[in-house]
Amino acid sequence: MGDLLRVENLRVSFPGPEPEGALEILSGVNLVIQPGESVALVGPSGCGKSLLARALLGLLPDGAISSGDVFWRGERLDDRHGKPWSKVRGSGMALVLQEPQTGLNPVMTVGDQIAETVRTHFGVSSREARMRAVSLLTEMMVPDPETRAGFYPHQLSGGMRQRVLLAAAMACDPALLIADEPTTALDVTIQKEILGLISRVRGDRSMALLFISHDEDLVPLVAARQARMSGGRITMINSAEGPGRSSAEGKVPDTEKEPGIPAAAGVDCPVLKARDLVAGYSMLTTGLDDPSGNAKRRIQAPVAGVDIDLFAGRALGLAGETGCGKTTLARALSRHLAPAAGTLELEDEDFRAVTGHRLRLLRRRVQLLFQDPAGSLNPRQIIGHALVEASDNKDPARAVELLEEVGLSADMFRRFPHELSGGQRQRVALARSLSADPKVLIADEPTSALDNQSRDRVLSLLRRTMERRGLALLVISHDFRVLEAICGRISVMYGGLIVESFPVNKGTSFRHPYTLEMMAASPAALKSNPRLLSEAGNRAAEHNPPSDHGCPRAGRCLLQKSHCAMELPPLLEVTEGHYLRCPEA
Amino acid sequence: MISWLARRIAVSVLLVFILISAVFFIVRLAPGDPLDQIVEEEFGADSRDQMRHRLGLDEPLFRQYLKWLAASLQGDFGTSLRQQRSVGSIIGEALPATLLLTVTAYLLHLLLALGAALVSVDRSRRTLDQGIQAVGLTLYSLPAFWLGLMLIMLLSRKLGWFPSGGMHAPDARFMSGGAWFADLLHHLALPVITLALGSFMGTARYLRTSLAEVLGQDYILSARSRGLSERRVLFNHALRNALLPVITLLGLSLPFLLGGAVVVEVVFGWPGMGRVAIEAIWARDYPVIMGTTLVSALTVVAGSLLADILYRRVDPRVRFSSREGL
Repeated sequence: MGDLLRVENLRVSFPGPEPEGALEILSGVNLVIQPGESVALVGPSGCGKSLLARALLGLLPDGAISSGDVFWRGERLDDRHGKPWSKVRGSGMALVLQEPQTGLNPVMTVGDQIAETVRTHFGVSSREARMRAVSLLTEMMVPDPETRAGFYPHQLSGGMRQRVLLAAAMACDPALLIADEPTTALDVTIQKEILGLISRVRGDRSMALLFISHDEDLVPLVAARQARMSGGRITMINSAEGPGRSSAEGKVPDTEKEPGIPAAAGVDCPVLKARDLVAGYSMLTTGLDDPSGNAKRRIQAPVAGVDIDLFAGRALGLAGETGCGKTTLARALSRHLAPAAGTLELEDEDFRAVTGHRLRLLRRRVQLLFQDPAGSLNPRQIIGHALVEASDNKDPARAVELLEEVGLSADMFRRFPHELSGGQRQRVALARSLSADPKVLIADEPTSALDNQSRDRVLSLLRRTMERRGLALLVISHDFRVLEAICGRISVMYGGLIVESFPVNKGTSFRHPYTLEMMAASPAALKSNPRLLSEAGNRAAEHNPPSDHGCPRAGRCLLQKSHCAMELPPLLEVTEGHYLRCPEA
Repeated sequence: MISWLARRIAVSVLLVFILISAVFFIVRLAPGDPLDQIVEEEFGADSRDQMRHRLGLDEPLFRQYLKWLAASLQGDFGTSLRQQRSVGSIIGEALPATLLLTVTAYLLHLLLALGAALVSVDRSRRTLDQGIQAVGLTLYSLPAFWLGLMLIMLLSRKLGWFPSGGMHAPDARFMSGGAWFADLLHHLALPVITLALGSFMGTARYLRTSLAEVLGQDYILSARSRGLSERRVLFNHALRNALLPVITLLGLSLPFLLGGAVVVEVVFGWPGMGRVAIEAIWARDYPVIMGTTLVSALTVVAGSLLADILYRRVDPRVRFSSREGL
């Protein structure tokens, strides 16, 4: 028998404009996977990990030129001379992709998509295939699988879609699952569930796994062996727990906290101050203006009454899951969305009621930095023009200054966004925000699209910029590692409300049940307690929306008492600087 | 869905109303006099005035408009000035012929566009694709009447494969059902080919872009990785998504097909709406012009409404917009 998969000297390149200018992405990859073995493949974004996954399946993009050999159970895969790839795809190797949004056909029900795979490989009747689809969904712990099978992808949450993709991949019992960043687009709590599920399914089926990730902290959770990729080669293979990695390697470096400024608020005036801010999109805010608060028609706004103070030279971290209102809050604080109620002040000026020219002027002082720098830069505009566009005099020297401030060389001026790496693009996006000389910078998931190394560099750049310019910084992330690295205070948001806010230092113990749940889902916590992961893999997915009445966590909280669903607990200061919205914690 | 449909129909009705009102005034303000065709020159000014009075054409324009509007709302579109037949019956004869022509032509148009697009995303058929592109674009740029005349010359006069014009053979009324139908198809062929050949490349190019984009999506990679056949990936996954934008195009291209049909009907002597409209315009036959305008406006509006409804049927994301994700 021997190896399940053997890759020998695999090279993949794309033809350049000149014959000799071919761009080689994979330059001689060697990799062996044994039956039932789990291997992690890590490396910075853009190092060719995903391309390798496609090469293994014989699904390289058009125009790619490849050489080298891929052996499947000792047979050479080759569509012309050897064993055709189509014999292996699906039944031998299966693939799960990063984006559950785009990995499923939007116009087919998820049940049909699983069933067609079953039919293709087993030639069973459509009724049998459908029953098999439902049982696969059951295996993936999808609640109410008969109903869910009839759903279209857009009717399911991201975590649920990833379960469906996994079910489709499992449809013909593959011997190897290739999971390409399967949890990168998900919240930490959902990430925990999916990782647990993958581990459990792998164990149940004694299937081999190739787990591709840019996040090395996840590796020990799912894989026994780690292969590191850089420069188009696999440079290191070792056991995941081996001496190759120290515990500090995966951690975000602690850029030292400034000791002089106390974390407690109230010493000086906030630059941006929001009180009881309510914001949402027009259809959602109806009913909120009704002072009697007609309980039956009360509709939860994405931001349902939030207090925020941002101080010059300090960073506030905002944590919470997808859909908790983080991004809506960012849009409301920057006045790209008009708040429905509450007050909002920018440097003691009313920022909520202001309109027209004055609004445009004030809005420049609050800049946004987005998650996906590729999507926020105009692909047909050179970097230099993007940087001077907002300034009054279009002085190229200013653009060069900004580039240098964010640690990029002046020759970036003439480049287009697609010629830059993810980290470089995020730097350019930061430089562009700085071109307006802002007082406040709101960074919405600034590093979640980046690998660990670029993440650390962007974070320390953010910190330096904040200190040098005295910026008031709001960092939004679902990743506590990011927030702890640069923020003096962290607020946790759930269901449109701040549920806990605490200063980041060794002494503080956060107590809110939701904060605890998020912390327990972090890779570091899972590593120290592997039992949590296997439990998560066996638990049915449930995604109740936040409760409309009382505490938003009512209905999915372990500490729940009868009054929780009746009235909303207030946000109280429990110890100095530590605010908590839970009387039971 | 219901309220959306009601709003959509209300807007369409308003649109049609504005359009035909504008046409009413434009044709009457345009130079030319319908009496030129009805009353001979030598009858003199008196009888002309008498005739004008009898037809109500001497009344103030706005009064004429109100009268026409009131009658139209009751379903009376007046009588042709030239033919002394009701506009309703003239259109009733011509409309089925035009619908037969345009619907058949559109189906062929779609089929050709689909074929061309499928060939163009298949990298192993580059030469065939380039050939189709060249021929298709040439046909697209040729005027319909010229293409029609060339086809008549080649396929009808030279090779004698198809009749050169008309809808039926002279002896069609004595034929049995099957033979009559075969004769109809025989006559239908050339005008349909002319319409479809001259227009399919636009849709093909659109479909090709859309198909190429869909084929780059993750769900296609995902489907291939599950070992589905390339046929299945192409038809069940790629094409179903790629056709979505084309549905919108369908509503938009209907006016062009109707416009093309006018020319083609005249070239092939096809007794449809186009010929009726052209003849009415030459004769300044106001009631018939109004009738044909109304019908084509309704067709266009109905076409885009149909496209919108179809879009909602086909795309589940639009269909379930009121039911949020779970």
